[in-house]
Amino acid sequence: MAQINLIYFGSVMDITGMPSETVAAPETLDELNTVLMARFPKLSVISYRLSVNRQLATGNRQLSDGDEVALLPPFAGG
Amino acid sequence: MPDSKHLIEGPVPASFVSGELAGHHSKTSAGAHAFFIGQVREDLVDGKKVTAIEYSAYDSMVDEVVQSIKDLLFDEYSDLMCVHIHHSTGRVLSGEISLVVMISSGHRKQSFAALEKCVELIKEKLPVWKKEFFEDGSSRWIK
Repeated sequence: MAQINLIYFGSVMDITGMPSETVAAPETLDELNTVLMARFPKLSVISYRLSVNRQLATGNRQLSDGDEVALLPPFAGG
Repeated sequence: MPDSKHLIEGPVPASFVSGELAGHHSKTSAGAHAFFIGQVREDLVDGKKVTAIEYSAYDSMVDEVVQSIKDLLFDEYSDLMCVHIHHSTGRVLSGEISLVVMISSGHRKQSFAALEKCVELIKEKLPVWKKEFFEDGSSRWIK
């Protein structure tokens, strides 16, 4: 079964309560987002973007075995 | 230790700046080095002083983003010679340094312009997050 690695940062990590996990890969990023929103309803009240293999990605991006998907709250460097 | 050559655990030592500068004396075609040095500000929020900021970063994405920032700058500024970016992760106290950017160019004008652009791109694109800590021990993420 295809699996992906999920990484959570900043305020997202406070909501998920863990820095990372490995989960079964949904077909697309949209499907993953739906699953995550159901598991962690508080994600719906914050703002975040997604990256796949360290590139920002959206919508119907297909997911593959071994992909690294990160949930990125607004950046605040400097 | 952070897994990125652009990240430093804790504050950036002030001596780091002179070290960078000393490392560039052999680049004799450069006529200008411009630095931006970011320091943690002791803000007052709802009457509480900020004592520290804790930075976290997506280490393995940082190097790729820094490269893309450099590519953008070199495309835009033909006189640019080098760009160095060093950002803290972990805890940095108020008054300590959390970001050093060094830009070298042949002449002064592009060093100033590229430096400002570089810092704006860091704010916009670098996958770094910060949490403010207050004197009473409370904290909050900065958006």
